[in-house]
Amino acid sequence: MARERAPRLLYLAFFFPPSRGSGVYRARATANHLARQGWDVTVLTAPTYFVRDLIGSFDEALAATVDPRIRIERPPMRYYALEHDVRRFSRFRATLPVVARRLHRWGLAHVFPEKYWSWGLACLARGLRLHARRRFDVIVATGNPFASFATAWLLNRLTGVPYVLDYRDSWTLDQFQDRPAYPPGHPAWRWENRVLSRAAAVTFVNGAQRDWHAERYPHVAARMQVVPNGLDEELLGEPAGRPPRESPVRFTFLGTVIPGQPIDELAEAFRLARQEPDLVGSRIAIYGYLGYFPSSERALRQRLARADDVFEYRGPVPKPQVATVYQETDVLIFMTSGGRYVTTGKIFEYMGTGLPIVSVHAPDVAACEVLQGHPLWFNPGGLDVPSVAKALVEAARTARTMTVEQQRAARAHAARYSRTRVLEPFEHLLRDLAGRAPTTDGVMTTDGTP
Amino acid sequence: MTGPHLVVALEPTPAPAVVGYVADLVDAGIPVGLVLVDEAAVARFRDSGAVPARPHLDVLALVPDEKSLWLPRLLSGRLRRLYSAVVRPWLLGRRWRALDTRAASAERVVAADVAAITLVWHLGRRHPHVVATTALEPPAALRRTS
Repeated sequence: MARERAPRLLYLAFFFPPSRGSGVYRARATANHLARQGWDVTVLTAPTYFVRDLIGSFDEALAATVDPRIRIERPPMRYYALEHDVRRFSRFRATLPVVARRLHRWGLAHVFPEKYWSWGLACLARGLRLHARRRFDVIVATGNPFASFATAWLLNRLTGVPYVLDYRDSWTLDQFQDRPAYPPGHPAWRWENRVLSRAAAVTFVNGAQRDWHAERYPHVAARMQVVPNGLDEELLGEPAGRPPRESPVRFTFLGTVIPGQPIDELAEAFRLARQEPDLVGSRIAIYGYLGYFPSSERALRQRLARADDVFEYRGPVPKPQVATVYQETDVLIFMTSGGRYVTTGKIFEYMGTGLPIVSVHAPDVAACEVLQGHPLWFNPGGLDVPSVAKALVEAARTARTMTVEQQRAARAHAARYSRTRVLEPFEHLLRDLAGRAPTTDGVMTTDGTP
Repeated sequence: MTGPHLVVALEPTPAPAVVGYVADLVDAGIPVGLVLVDEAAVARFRDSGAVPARPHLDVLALVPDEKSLWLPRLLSGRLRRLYSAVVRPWLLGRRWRALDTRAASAERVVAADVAAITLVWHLGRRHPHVVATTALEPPAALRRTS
């Protein structure tokens, strides 16, 4: 009997390693998980020129963590709004710059309202060619950019292959300001309705985002689900239990520092907390990039330098060395921007360390959903400086006295969100759509709880 | 310290972002040649006082008086708009020779608005060692030292 071929997935993920953009980890984990489960995965992602030369946001070490069975293709794109090197402009743009600008604006207003639309079109052509050679069973598109959603929709119209939309970020909701991102009548609304209407499933990183979209698109609500971000356990290794801390407690923030984070509030609270004996001699080590793009680095560096009695900036850490940083840490600072719609993937890694975590963010960020029940979570409930200072002191005291059992309990909480566990129902869902799978296991809980 | 910058802004009045960019460069002690479309634009820029006069800031006009060019004087209405969109950048771009010497010794030539792109494209092709860009951000060397 002929062996059944592996189910074939087309994954539209603009940000994929070696890019180090914020959405890369989810895309990387999803592709790796599906490849391990026997899927034949093809990823269409951003051109190398965009990642390396234009935005300079890449990490070779991260690229090495992609499963070698995954086929990666990089369709070309136009760089009208992104390219600044005048020598690279086409002759048309160089000699008729005003006309070229008008055409670009017309395209945004009437074709697709996003500067990545040309990448979406190139993906459509590449996807059709690959599909003609060997049929895809399912398409998954992750946004942003949301040109990937339009591409999935077009591929579905042309080939009938079912597609799943994965909202890493919201499109028409400004998730940082908690209000619609576009005025009524903007083409983004029409496009979102169009792509959602034919989607076989729609996934979100948290329940708040799902609820917001379900309210606006009730006809699609039944197909909307949550696939939370998760813990990439292989990056952490097996955290060793640690003895109680005697010398100054080592506080660490590990992640990308961005302008919206409450850096100044944290510095003020830390100075206040340092008046307590438990924090004498302590500082906060900052590991990670300053901003997602080089253009924001200068201002962030200056901002950290203004509080150099509190912060010690130690630069980015290659993924393979992340575990070492955690080994040299006693308390983790979870500092994030945004509100109830924003989940950061970093929190899963933090939880996986089994270390005390101090929250420094607005009271209702979506990450609180997953932190609920974590035994070493110190939540001041907002950005009130004395409350944050109190949480820092309590976390330092805990770091000095915590037991191996407490650390084990903290890691057990994190294990509920391992990538394998959170992606398992998603993989079953895809198998259902591909007509390859047991259907009963493919039903995901609507809140994404594993 | 970083090398001379040639900033080309050919809209009738430079945008606030362009003025701020030039002011940042001048404050950082970088020699700047700011090219505006004509003498009237230069006079308006100087009168605005947006960037204080400094020895290392040289403001110059690409043409003496753009209004005196024969073609736009003949046009009005839609034809005038068509001229601005299609012909004007090309016409101003032909004046690249007037900036050739300055561009040769510059570290960076900046097209600060859309009308300046054609001219900077010509200069960039002629001087491959010079950075020819539309980015109004301080150069990397400036970022590192601040």
